[in-house]
Amino acid sequence: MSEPLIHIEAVTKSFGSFTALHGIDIDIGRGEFFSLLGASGCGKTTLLRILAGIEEPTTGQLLIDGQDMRGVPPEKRPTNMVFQSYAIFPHLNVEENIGYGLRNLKLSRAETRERIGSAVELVKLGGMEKRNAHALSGGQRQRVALARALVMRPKVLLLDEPLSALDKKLREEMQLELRAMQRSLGITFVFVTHDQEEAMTLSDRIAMMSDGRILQLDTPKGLYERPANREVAEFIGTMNLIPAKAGAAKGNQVSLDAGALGKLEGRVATDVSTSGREVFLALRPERISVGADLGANARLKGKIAEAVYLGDRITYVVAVNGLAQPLRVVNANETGEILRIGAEVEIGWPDDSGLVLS
Amino acid sequence: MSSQDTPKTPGATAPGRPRRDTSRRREALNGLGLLSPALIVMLSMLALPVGALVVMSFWTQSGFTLDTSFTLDNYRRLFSTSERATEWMGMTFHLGYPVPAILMIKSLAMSLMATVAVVLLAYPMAYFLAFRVKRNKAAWIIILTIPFWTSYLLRVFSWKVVLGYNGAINSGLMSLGLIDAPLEFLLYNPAAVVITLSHAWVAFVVLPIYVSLEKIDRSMLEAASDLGDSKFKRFRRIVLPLSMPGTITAALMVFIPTVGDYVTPQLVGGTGGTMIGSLVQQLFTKQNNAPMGAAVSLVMMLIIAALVLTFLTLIGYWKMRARSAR
Repeated sequence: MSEPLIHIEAVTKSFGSFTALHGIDIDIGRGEFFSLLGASGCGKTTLLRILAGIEEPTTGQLLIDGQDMRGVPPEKRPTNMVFQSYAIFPHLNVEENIGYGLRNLKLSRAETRERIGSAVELVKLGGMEKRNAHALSGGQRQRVALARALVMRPKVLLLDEPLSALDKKLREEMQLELRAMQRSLGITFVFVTHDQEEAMTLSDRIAMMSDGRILQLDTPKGLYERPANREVAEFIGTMNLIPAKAGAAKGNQVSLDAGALGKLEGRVATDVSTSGREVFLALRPERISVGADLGANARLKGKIAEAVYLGDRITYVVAVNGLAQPLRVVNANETGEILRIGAEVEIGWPDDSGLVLS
Repeated sequence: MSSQDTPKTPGATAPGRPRRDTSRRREALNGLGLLSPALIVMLSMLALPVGALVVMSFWTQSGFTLDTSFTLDNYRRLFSTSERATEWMGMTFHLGYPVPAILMIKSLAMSLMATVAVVLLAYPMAYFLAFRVKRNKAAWIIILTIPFWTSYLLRVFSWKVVLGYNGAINSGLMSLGLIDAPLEFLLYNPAAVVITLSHAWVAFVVLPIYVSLEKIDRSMLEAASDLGDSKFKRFRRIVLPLSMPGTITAALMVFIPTVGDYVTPQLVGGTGGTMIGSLVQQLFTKQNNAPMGAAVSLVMMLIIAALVLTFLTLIGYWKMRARSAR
């Protein structure tokens, strides 16, 4: 990444005695689709509102395109926002809503018309220009909110859970459209969501947040494959966690003592020494294979507690002696055969699939 | 459709319908039942008196006897023209009985002034309450309503104390040595009526305006700022239009009743401050001409209704209301 467009350094935010953000550092590049992901109350929306200028950080620095944003009000920032509630102005029609901010740019009448026209086209609202805002559906409101922000040609578009109010099908459609729009416009998007799947679908990079801190900042693949800790691992997808005691490390392979389950091995993602500490061996459900006889690959023995046939895949819940939490396993449906509930099975996984998390 | 096609019972073709019909009827009955106490009160306290007023306006009074035969004489007298011109405030009236018309115009003008004053006073208060007060809103609202803990009459009287010959303003100014003799123009004129009416009604207006401001989604304001509006522009383009329906409703709540007010003009208005309500009151009491009083008050009601409806239509009130409803 060359010079970042957004530079967030040691930003904290307190509301009275409550600290919403503890020292956030993020650099966001030009043209990047960046997501802030986390459960509600994790501070992601606060951070977005700090970027927009609606909130001021308590301490820390924010640069956008090299300029210090301290004291710069929202109306003077090169950012525009799509609000979670859309905040469509109810007394204006679609066209007036979309053109709302252009009045402040003092453009020629021709350019204003042209910009509104192309924005209307971009969000596919052609023919609805004169419709009253209160006569729009949720999806249409969302499009108006998007067009209203994009028409300003911001350097950064901020999106506060813009898709959470839409039904599943429309949401998936809009995800693809958003992604395509972002690619073709080249505008930096900062996207707030609590939906990990949505974040994975859309983003170049994701900052996973919890309790006002960044747990991990990585690509979608990085978050999934190399979660930094247990919280990230459990938030992104499903993760099986086997408690164990870390032993000696050889390279990034660590030997583990899993008590009744015997000796296991796992990979460490970071260079932190885990030796002697209580850790978890983390396994993704789709990396685990189960079968009556896995031969040399067998690592554990268990019993099928639940089997669910989903067509393209089969999910199993496998009870393992000495493990409080049964393992969740997802296997691709290759043969059409399904293991029967109660069957004794062997459990295995490839060497590099087990991840050591603290 | 021929008669053969018509099913004998509605249930024959649509099995679900009769049941739905009865349940709907039951619902309607339930609704009426729940409404009935209010309906009875409305009928007995509002519709019947107005009906009586209508009937009475077609009677006539001569001396001490009430002639109950139907006649349009009262209305004819109200609208009769005359060769003799009456001058008032630069306007010329060619009416046989010009007093009600003059008082009507005067009342409308005074009410309008009071209404404008009330809205100008109340809007900033409501704005402060809705946007600036973060904590203890209930306490602020209670403080605003404190004047209402005393009766309307006492509040009007209190203005007499403030504006009167030996009142607070005069004695204050005299003790400061600014004037030698009490100012006499403070009380007993139309201005005193307008001031008193404004004060009396302001809190009635603060609350509805406050509600309409409070209803505005704060993210709208954030969005307006985000789109480049300064605080003032945002007020002009978002807050004002969205609070307009509530403000207009509140203004009408002042305008309509104050046109017919007779207590305030009588107490602080003097002879110059009389309004149409004072005339109605006098017709019913001192002048002993209740039928004429009824006719005057009915014409007044109709004029106010027509004015209000014309005003609301002109500004597109219903459309505005529908648009800002959501």
